[in-house]
Amino acid sequence: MWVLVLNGLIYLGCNGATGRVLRQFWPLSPREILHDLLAALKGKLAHADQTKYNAVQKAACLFVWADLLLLVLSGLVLWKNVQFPILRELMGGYENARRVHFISMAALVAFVMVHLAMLALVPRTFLAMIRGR
Amino acid sequence: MQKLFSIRRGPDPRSEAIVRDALKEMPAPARRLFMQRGLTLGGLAMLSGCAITDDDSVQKVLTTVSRFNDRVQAAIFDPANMAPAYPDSMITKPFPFNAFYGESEVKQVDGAGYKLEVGGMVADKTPWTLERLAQLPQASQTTRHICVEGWSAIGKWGGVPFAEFLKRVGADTTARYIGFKCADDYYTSIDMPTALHAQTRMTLSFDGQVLPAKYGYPMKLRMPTKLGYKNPKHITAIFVTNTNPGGYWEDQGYNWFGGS
Repeated sequence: MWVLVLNGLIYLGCNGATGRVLRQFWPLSPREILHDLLAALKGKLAHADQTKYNAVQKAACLFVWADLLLLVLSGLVLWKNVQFPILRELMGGYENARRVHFISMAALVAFVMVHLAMLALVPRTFLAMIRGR
Repeated sequence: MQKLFSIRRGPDPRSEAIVRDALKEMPAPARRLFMQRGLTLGGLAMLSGCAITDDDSVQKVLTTVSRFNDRVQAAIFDPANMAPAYPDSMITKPFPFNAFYGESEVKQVDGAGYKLEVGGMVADKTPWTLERLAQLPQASQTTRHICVEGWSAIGKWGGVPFAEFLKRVGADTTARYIGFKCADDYYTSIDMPTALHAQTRMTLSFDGQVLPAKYGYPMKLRMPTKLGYKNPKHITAIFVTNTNPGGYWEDQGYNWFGGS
């Protein structure tokens, strides 16, 4: 848990401070997402410029941020429900927080599986993922 | 059947041909990659088979993190925060039994001969009979019992606010811990702020009935701010101390604070 918290804080801190968030993830429109998704499914997605995310990647990243946030908030309720009364009510009570936590966990696992499948299909993106270029 | 036997006797020349053809189809780098990935997969598979938690240094790290978690939980513990109360219609029936032994081995304590010992940093060490405990002010609450195993259930517990009892025996509330010994050889301990929490109860009844043996007769300590294993049953001794007395599960690696 503490590793996730530290990692998240560093990631968000670095991205926020350098303005990378705005540069990399916006602008983003549903039309672009659909276009890139179709291109990806047809196997025609261009990987020419690996420093830029395509629209589907942007959308997936934003989804994972939201999912991780939900995962952490519902996790806090499961961890100490008495000490986080507002969060507990937002999650619809202790038992419901369990369901929220489980579903957001499953969504994260699904993302990781697609993520790894994509990497296996286009292995040369691996270096860019680590080096950023 | 004949065919099967012929395969077992030696390599079929046809299968060798198939492998040879398949290898021709695979370019050399792909074959190398295939081998590398196969090796990594094998490495991972073997790792899952070894018990790294048996290692002393791993144990040390895990214990350090658990102690850190104790401190974080103590820091965020706010005595003003109450666990939610539920209507009696939501009581879980039947309320689950849970202990480190089976339900058939539940300790049968004789209520008439029962004496609750009080020790450590308290002014009055006179043992308490069940009758005397019943004469103290009583209150009941319907709250959720949360187990570390992942289940939870709602129950209605009635009894003496623990803070009131501690006041009566003249406990030193600046002490850090309160330890409990139980008739079923269970033992545990809690922090003073949780002991003084308004919902912490010396429980004498369950759902309006005298506390049944399986739920801890004659007396259990009920804290909706802590996980189930921190709520001792069949308590026979209470002592106030500054040395952490540990606990049955806690000494086997469960988190000591165990808040919920």
